[in-house]
Order: sequence, then structure tokens, then C-alpha cells
Amino acid sequence: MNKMELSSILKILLTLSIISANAGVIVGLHKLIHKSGKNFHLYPVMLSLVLLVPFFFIRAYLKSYFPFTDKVESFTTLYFILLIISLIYRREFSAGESVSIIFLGMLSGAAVFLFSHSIRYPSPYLKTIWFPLHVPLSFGAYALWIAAGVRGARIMVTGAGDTMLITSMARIGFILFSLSMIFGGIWGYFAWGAYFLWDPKLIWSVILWIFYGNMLHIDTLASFRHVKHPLYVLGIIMILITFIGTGFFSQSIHRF
Amino acid sequence: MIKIIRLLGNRKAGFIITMGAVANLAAGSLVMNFNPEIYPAFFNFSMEFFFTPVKPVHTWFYILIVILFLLGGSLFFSTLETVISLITGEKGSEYDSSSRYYTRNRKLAAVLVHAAIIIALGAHLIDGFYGRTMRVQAVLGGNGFDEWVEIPGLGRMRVNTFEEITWPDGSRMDLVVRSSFMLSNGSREERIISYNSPALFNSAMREVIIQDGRNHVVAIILLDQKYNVYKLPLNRPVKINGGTLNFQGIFETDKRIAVAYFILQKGDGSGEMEERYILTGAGPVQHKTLNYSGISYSIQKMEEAFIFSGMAVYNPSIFLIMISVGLSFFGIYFMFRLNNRPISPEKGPY
Repeated sequence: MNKMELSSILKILLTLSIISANAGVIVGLHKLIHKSGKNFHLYPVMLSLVLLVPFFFIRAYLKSYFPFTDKVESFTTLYFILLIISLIYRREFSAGESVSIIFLGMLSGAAVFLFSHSIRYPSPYLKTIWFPLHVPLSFGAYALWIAAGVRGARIMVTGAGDTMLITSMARIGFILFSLSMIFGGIWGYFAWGAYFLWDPKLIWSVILWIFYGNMLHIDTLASFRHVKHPLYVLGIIMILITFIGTGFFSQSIHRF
Repeated sequence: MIKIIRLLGNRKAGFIITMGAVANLAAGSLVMNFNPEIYPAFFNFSMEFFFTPVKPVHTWFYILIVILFLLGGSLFFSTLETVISLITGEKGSEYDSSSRYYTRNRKLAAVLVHAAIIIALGAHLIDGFYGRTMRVQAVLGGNGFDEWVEIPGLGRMRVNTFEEITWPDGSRMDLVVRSSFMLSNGSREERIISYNSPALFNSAMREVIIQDGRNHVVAIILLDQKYNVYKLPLNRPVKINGGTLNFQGIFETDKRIAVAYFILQKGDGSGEMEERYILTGAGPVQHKTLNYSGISYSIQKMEEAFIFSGMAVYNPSIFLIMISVGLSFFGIYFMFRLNNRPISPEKGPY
């Protein structure tokens, strides 16, 4: 099978995965409207994830490297991790939350069709162990913080839901992001001679890290608890700025 | 005493200060993005940049410095309070009866992570004031240049060999540069430098990193009508016909035509400088010669050599950063243990 054929298979796999996730959203909405009990909507989500596995393997094969170096792979990775989050927290999430997270993941996956699918070999700076340690951890943190924001939005709208789940997800996200920042810092020192540069993506990463680190204290501050949920919703916007804003609309070295 | 510590490490004030830092960094990011002529797209942390000279556009940074000092102080005193409460077994002011996950692990995580942040802030400050970076360019084999390049504080460096490794499409995968260092203490060391793998010295306080490396034209040989030959090394002024000619390199025009670029200083006493170009490829004869004082010069030969482009870094605070990273790992471990507590899901209406 030549590279052109494999590239076509990649598009087919991604399309089928998104169709499957879409089916999950539709079944989930049906569950939400009809208040049925079982999480049937997660079966198409599982299928969607299964379809993404060969997608990543083929991309890795075609570029002989970890498959999250360009915008196609970055958006697909976020899509993949959001779907995983919807499965991990299936018992804690309401149908509305689950559908929202799958839908956001699906949007990230669908955005991939806006970009060129050409396979480019990674730059020499990406050839390091710090790269696969740094990137997936930060994506995991983004996904968890998005999920925390979705729970925040739900509590704001309905008043229902355990607010401590937000803290728990935010804390795991903070742990992952801290590790990602440490690995990224070590990489930066070896590759660019500095663990921190005045680069938009790095600044916004620091902003996110400080913001979510600070938010871990809010449960113990009675006078600020009323702004906890709006701030977690605001966090989603900050993640979008960090992930998309600095990646497309800035002079960042991290730009896509 | 403990009351003073609690007052200075007030959590509410700390929360507000931290959000202030978030807002300030966001504003700074926008200022930098919309002023690319002032803020280069890719530059290292340096305090000097923001203070020489002081500019109104850097206001966000000056405010940031104040906020970070306040934050550092707040973190220090709140951490001190937690340390005291850990030692004495007191609950500490952050205890809230409605908080359901107050544990010893939480205190340990807080102390370690906050201490790591304070140390990292201090390390940044030291690096910002005393850290140095310097561009390093070394020509393989010298070729008219000094083979050994001086790196202040470290010694001298020389490139011995290089090997480019490419992907199947010809793009660069890595560049392996074998180099020699004559250190200030008189010892000689052989090091291999490649992308993400710098030459480290003094426990990583000093490093030489690679940024690029490729064959460049390092000298151009001009021939005049009388067959006199002039060798012009890159960026080295050479006296010609009473004036001074400085070869600046080979550049491409907007129409992607390669030209040799010179700066000519006239020898008529005026000191006047002129930019001159000579086509390096095919083209009209008048564009393939450089005319000065009635003599025309044409390119006889161009000499190429491998040029290593890199950066020498001195970061005196790297040891503090290592301590900060170590504390962070321990703090993260205790934070991770916090998540072992069971979550009581309050499922809302479906």
C-alpha cells in the first residue's frame, strides 16, 4: 500500500470516527430528552475511539515519529482524549455533560478537515524524548479542564451536580500540566537554551498553570466560592486562546 | 508572630494577587503580539531588555514584577504558616469546616509545590539579571577565520566534523557536530552537539546549543581587469583601489535571484558607504561586475565552508531550578495521593 492510499485511509478512518461520535451525541441527546437510564450513547464513542487507534498508528508509520506534531494530529489528539474523558467519568457525568464533552471533542476532530492532510516530517527540534512526554500530558490537562468547565456550566444552569468533581478533575489536570511544563522546560533548556521564552504559547501556558493552580484553593475560600463555576467556564475560553489563539493568530514558535 | 505570618500570607489576598498575575500576563501577551517591532518573535528572558531603556510600552512588565514580588511574599508566608501548622499539628487558617478533603497530604503538597514556585521565581530573577546568552558561529576548518571561537566565561570552541541526518524527503532530521572545547581551566574536552543535545558544562550552568549549521559561502574571490585577485572573507573589510570593500554574504532578491552583497566605503575621504550587488548566477554582464573608480571586478570563485550557528548560554540559577523541579515532583506525588479519596457523585436529573 503506497502513501497516497494510506493517506486516503486516514481520512476515511477520521470520517467514520466522527460519524460514530456524532451517533453518540444523537443517542445521548435522546437519552437526555427521554430521561432513559442507560449510557448507550457511549458505545458509538467507544467505536469512535477504536477507529482512531489505526489513524494514529498510520500517521506514526508515515512520518516515522509520534503522531502529534502537526495541527491535524493535535486536534485529533484532543478529540481522542475528550472522548476518553467521557468514558472515564461516565458514572459521574450527567447525560448533558457527557454529550457536551463528546460534542466538543467531535468539533475538535471535525476541525481537522479544514487543514491540509499532507504528511510532513517533524523538525529536528521535535526529535527528543521530551516531546512525547510534554505534549500528550498538556492535552490531557486541557481535556480535564474543559470537562471541569462543562460541569461548572451545568451547575450554573441547573444548580445540580457535585462541585468537588470539578476540583478533582482540575487537580488531575494541574498535575498533568505541571509535569508537562517541567518536561517542556527541560526540553526548552536543551533545545533553545531557556526553560522559558517570551513566546505567546508559553506565556498562555503559564497563565493557564497559574490560573488552575489558584483555582485549586477556591474551595477553602468561602468568600470566593460563588465565582468558582463561572471561573471554570472562563477557563475553557482561556484554553481555547492557548490552544487555538496562540497557535493560529500569534508569532509563536509553537504556531501550527 | 503567627498572627503576623497569617496576615502576610492571607489566602484571600493571595488568590486576588494570583488572578492579578493572570490578568497582567494576558495583557502583556497582547501587548507583545501587537508590537512585533518592539518584541522579537523569539527571545530569551532578560531583564535588561525591559530596562534598557525603560519604555511606557513595557508598563505591563513593570506591574508584573511588582505583582510577582507580592505573589512571592504571599506564597512564602502562607507556606511558612502551613509548615508551622504541620509541625505543631494545628489546623491552620486554610482549614474550612465545609472543605471535605483537608488532609496532611494536602499540606505537604501545598508546602512542596509553593516552595518550588518561590524558588523558581527567585531563579528567574537571578537568571534575568545575571544570565547571559551569546551567539556562536564557528567555521569548520577556519577557512580564513579563526578556527577557535572565543566564548567568554567558558573558553574556546572549534568544530571538527559534522554529519547531517535527513528524513526520506531530504528534510533535516538532525545534525551531529563533533567539537572541541579548550576550557578556561586549561582542560580540553571533545563534545558532540546535536539538536536537543547541547554541550553542557559546570553542572548545566553553561551550555552550547545548536541552532543551525550548513554550508555557506565564507569568502568570495574577485578578479579585476588586470587579473589581480582579491579574497574577501565574510564580514572582513578588504582594501581595494583606495576604498574598502566588505563582503556581507549571498542573499536572494524578491525575485529569488542570488546576489553577492557588498558594502563599499569610498576612499575619497568622505567615508560614504554604498551597497553593491553582483549576480552570482547567469544574467546581464553589467550586473555581474562591480565597478569602482574605473575598475570593474567580477567573481572568480566562491569558497564554501560549514558554519555552525549556535548559542552559548550561562544560567547561574540552574541549580535552583533543579531543586524546584525536585520539590515539584514530590509535591505532585502528594497531590496525586489526594485524588485517592472517593468522589461522591451527586448525579443530577437526566
